[in-house]
Amino acid sequence: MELTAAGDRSGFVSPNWVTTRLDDLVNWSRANSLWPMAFGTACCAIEFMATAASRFDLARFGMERVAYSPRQADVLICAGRLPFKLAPVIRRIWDQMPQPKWCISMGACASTGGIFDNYAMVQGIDTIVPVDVYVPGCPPRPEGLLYGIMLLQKKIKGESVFDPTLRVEQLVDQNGLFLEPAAVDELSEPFGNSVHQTRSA
Amino acid sequence: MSGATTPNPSVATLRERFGASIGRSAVVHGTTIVVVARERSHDVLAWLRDAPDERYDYLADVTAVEYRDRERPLEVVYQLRSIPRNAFLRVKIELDASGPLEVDSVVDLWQGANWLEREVWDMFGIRFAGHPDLRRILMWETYDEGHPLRKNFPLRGRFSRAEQVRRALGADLAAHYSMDELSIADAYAALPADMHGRLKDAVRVPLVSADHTAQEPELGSDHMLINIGPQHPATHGVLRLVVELDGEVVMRVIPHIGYLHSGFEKLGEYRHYNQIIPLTDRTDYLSAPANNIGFALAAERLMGIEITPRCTVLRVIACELSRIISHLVWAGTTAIDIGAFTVFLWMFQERERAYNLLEAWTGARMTTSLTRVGGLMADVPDGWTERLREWARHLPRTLDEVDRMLLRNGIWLGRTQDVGVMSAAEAANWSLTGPMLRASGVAFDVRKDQPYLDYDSYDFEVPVGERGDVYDRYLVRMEEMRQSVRIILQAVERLPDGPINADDPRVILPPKRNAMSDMESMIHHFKQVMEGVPAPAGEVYFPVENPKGELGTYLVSDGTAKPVRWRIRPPSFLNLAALPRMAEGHLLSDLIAINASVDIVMGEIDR
Repeated sequence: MELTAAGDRSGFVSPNWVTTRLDDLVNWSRANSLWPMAFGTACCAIEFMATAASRFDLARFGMERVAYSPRQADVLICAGRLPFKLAPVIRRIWDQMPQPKWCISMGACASTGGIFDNYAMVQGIDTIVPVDVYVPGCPPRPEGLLYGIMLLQKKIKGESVFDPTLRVEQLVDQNGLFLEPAAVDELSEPFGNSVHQTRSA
Repeated sequence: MSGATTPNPSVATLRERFGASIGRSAVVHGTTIVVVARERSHDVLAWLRDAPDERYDYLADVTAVEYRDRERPLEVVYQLRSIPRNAFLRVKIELDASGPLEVDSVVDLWQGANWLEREVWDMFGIRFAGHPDLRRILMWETYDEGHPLRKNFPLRGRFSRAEQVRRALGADLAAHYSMDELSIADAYAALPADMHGRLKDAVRVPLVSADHTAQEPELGSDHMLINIGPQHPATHGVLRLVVELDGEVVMRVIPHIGYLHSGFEKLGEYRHYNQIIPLTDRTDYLSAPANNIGFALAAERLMGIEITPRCTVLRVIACELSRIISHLVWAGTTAIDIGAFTVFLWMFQERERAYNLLEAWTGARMTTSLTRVGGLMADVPDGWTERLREWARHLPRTLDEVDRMLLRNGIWLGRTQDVGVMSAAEAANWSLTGPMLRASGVAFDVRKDQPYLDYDSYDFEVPVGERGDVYDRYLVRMEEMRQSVRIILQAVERLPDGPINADDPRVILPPKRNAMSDMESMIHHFKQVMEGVPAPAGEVYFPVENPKGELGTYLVSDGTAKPVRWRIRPPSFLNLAALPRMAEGHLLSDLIAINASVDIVMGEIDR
């Protein structure tokens, strides 16, 4: 705006005031200061490190503070494969994170078990923690992870602080699982080449 | 080792000495194999270690093999090496599946056997009599589906996926985190003498009392337990350390591994040889090309394939490139652990430049899947060698900068010198390998002592440390990178023209153009992809010098297209096993520095 004449303040808007929807303000601040909890287990963790290093510079997205304590983190990035032995660990870390929290599953193994369709590997972390964004790749390039982060930011910008269902903690059920057993089995079904490549000689 | 057909003379002396306890022996792919009776195995192995003409002072590997159909299907395999004599011997014990699955432990002979035997117990259910701590190591201790590498164990486990998830989630996270397990009183007598001294000096801290007279108070026996990991930035992956502290002094440290156990070796039994190569990428993911090459060399020896001269030189370049990129990450993350962040950024910049080279060659930054059995997945693109040369010339300047920054830094020197010392004899007895072994003063490098590819024709030095502390390990790795640059520059000079794949239609796919136009080629292509390439029955242990140490690929074939056993001899698994020996008696902060100096990568340790 511009001042038309001295003393005429009809077009003046105080710089101290902004009118916006509360949702927009909250989401804007949440989306741009995500503190990642880097749950790096395998190869993807090295690409996460590359994303955090100088060439790709995660700090551009408000994520320069990598939290190594789940209690001070907003987004769990599961970077790498998740064997059964590690399953209770990621669940405890997820439970320790305060709301609001989100989860990115980085790479094929975290998302589906990847090439490890065997006795040792959880077939997708979504059988254990709820996942917001899946990043494909083995491992994903840093650009892929950054794209996943931007998708998460987009998702956060569509949330509402007045929707209580978004922040409900999903607790363990009477089966000791977080999903119905049938749902876990279905998510863990082999697909694609995996069906054929596991025949013994 | 290569090409030798005469049996190792140790076999004849063994027969003379132990008579009927020595079973059949053979020379397979240049290595002498001798079968020993179960009852006398400990005597035989002890004699092999101690007899002045034998001196097998280094236990390269302990593993087991289960054959698909044989009368005595199970074998325990010891890979022995004599570093002073540069000799190699494979000792086997055959077991009946119905009889007692038990052999005598050799931990009292070679400390390095400790974790290796635990792994055999975990994976095969073979007990080791006299082992000090025979617990599961890769699977969790209440795992009750069985022993995964047995042939009657289904690939996907015995239970449904939901049941597996339920059991895993029900595991007690605090298990093995108690004073009972860590009782130091039992272990104190077994500790080496120098560690007694270290513990005594460390605990006796003079305090000043209220009346300002220095005194040595009676320190209570209240020790503190802390748990580091499996999710902790200073454990370089999902390693868990349970540490018993007296004040700040580490009294005991118990590493728990297996949090990244992915079943590579089981999966390999269900894959064709070429299909295993993508798996090798993901074991030691910091140096994928070197793993690809180690596996391809083993498979090629098994199948009797000669690779072309251009392929040989390109593989040398890839090996040295992966040594450099692995050491770069090591130096960066170790510096972070000791409190210097800049090094991480500088090293990652260099690594990004190397990634660009790898990406131009293979299309991938990390998981390259560079080799095929008998050749490479692709030739280098035009102008690549020039870019490589430029990068290789530039790299030492960055290394010098890092050296200048760290080696004149009092904090760095104080945190690394005389910390985590291993003597040469001990390093060999603990089966340390690679830079860890050389930093302790043992000049063993597979590239020099059992040359593969054409390493014997390059001019390079093997750096060796004097004291075997964290500082020496840093110096050794930095110098190894400079030597790798030397090798790369020599290799670029000599890179010959010619094909990259062996002229062997058994293993090399026909060109895609022919496969789409010519019936013969199409059938050939189809059969090779669908049925794989059968390898003649036999077995081979092929060691290569990876960045972390000696990566051994032990392949056993029964004549089909899929191996009976694909064993990875993981270098950082053995290096990590010595962590308690190095860290006990030091301060907690030194434990972090020592752990960083080991250069672990959990993908390879847990497999």
